[in-house]
Amino acid sequence: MRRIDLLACLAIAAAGCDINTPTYFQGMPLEVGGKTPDGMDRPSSATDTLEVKFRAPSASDTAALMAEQQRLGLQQPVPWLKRSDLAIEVAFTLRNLDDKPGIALVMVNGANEFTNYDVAAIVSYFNMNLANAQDRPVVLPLIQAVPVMVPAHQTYQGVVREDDFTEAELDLDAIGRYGANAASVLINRSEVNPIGLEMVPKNEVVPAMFRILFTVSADTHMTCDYVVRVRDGADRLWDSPSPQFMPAPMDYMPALPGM
Amino acid sequence: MGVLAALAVMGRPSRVCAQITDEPAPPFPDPAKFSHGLYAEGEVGAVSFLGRAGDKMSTGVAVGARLGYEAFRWFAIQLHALGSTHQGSFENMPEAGQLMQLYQMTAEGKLTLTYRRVSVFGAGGGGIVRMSSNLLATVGLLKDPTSLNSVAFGGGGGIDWHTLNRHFSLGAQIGFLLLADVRESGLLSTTLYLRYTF
Repeated sequence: MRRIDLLACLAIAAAGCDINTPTYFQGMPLEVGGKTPDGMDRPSSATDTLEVKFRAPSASDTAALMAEQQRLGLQQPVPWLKRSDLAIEVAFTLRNLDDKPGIALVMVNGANEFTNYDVAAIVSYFNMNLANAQDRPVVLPLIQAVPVMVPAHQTYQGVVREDDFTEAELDLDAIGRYGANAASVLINRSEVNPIGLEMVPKNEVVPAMFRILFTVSADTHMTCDYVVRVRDGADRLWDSPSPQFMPAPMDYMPALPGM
Repeated sequence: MGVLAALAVMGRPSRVCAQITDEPAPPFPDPAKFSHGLYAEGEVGAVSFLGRAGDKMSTGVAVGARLGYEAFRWFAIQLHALGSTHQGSFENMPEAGQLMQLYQMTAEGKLTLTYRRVSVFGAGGGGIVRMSSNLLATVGLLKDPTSLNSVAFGGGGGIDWHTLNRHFSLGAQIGFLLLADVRESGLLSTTLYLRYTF
């Protein structure tokens, strides 16, 4: 009995070492507003794309996913990267390099293994297909932080929290695989108002995002550094020499208004 | 007759005799009576990063344990595990405020000098330090950014005060570990401990 107790204590201690083991991925520093060294105006918005590397499923993993899909009775495949296994958070720092206070806005879009949601691509699509600018709908990001005022030569630190990603991942799956109205699901918090999620099965296995499009906009000269923090509860993060997961998600393109 | 005997005694030189009948009283308390051999320690204290990682991570609370064996009164070998939690202090960087845990696991040799209830000791050894995340890799401090382990070696010392109970003693110790896989960085640990010798 004593030996069993000792083994149990050791097992708990070993498990405790892995309770909170995040991995950090650094994004490219972004710079918006102000002038470039050669005197040109710098764009007021910039986006960086960061893809988190995950290991590819083995043949037995794939078989297990198919068995899980059958067991759950789902029409759509069960994702390899599940929201329940991966907790994502983005921490960022804004620096206002200007002599006057500025307002900055941070947005997050991205892709899961089935759907890519890129606001810039959707806006371009509307611009190409809708000649009249008044007809072009507003395109909402998956996650939009509250605009922040950054005083001159000051720094602001912010976080896009794990629960923001949890909501965004559900919205992205509803939009991509279940044809939900993007505006409906993106405006509403699903636990408060699940409008737009009617087609999503109750036992849906929500895919996690693997690609993050981090956008910062500002009305003054600012820089932004960010890191993506991933807590991997299912040993999905890539580690050489295992093969890397290379999904090819479909770009989401909404129906044109009036068509 | 009595007068003759008295004169005979008075006529001889006098002599004083002494005899030791008991062992000398032992010092109190007698260190020889303290338990000796296998021992265990529990400790609490703080761990600080030194060097380049020193301004990136805060000092953290630490909890640890030792299990050792005194081969002699003056020499012991011991296994040491110490866990601590730290907060990132990356100034004006997004990593600021992020938490990281450290797990130190080392094997040590220990030399002890005892005088009655007080001992002073020095210990040295090496082992592995495991980090719970790659937080230090984001600022280029890990030599191998994909590894969360670092070889570590170093030493320290302290003072031990034995209670009148033959099993228990209390002490304070300070130690330094050089982290071979974290660029120009080390760990300073200061702890108080309670020791039980079986």
